[in-house]
Amino acid sequence: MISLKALPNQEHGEVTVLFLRRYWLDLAGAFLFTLAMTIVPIAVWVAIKLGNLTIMSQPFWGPALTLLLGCYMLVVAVITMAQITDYFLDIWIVTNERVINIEQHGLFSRTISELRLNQVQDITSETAGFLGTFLTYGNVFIQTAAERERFQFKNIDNPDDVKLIIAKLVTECKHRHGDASLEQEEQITDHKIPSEPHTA
Amino acid sequence: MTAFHFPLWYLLIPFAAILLATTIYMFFNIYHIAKFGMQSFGTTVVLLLYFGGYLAVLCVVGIMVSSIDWQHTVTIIEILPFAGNSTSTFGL
Repeated sequence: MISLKALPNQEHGEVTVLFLRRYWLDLAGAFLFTLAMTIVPIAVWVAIKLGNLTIMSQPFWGPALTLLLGCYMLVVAVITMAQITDYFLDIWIVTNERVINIEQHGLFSRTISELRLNQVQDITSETAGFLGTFLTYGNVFIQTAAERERFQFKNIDNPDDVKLIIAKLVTECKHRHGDASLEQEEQITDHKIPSEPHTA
Repeated sequence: MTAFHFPLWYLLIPFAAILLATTIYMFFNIYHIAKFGMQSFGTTVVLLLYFGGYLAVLCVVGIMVSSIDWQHTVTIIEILPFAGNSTSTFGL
């Protein structure tokens, strides 16, 4: 298990400032899915009762449908668990030194990446859609000069506030350790633009 | 001409396979939460919910399945829905 008091490779004096998960609406979606899937067999049962169908008293179909319903319930239970696990294991931790991004993709794939705050070049917050605007949740993108995918905090609560906090932490970190984003940018520029060819 | 008979418990074989698969999947979920989750009260609650929820579903399924006489044999003709056989395996 991961402890906020003992993060992997934690430096002396490093403290956790933000601990973020996706907005609760994502988790509510998983529960709504379960609720909807639970209503289906109940609706079928009511339809059988109302239609006076005798299929459940058939020597083969009664037991077969019972087993099918049992399998259905088990599968819905594990799908719900997988969705909760996916929600529960998507974590973003912001300390005064770095950003740690832990993402669970399904049950068998997991990505853990980290970024030092003095490498950050740009932070963008994004709120989109009616629900996002009304409930104030959205995305935060953190861009470095390095040639890698930008960090994305997906569907987090109050992305604008998170952006401001991270921007403040980035400024403080750059004061302490220097601006590593400029060095990275210079390195990339050196790699991308070849020197002028010499003419004979 | 003799009709092909088979006992109902044959149906339990694919059911047992699905039960095994979902149980293994459930344990994978628990393993992931226990290994990669945060050390917090919330994680404990989620783990208890997983165990409790899955056990509850298992109990309901167990009650449903145990109410059937699995030794009963059926013929192919009885598989056809509404074939008119009045014998109920639920003892109804």
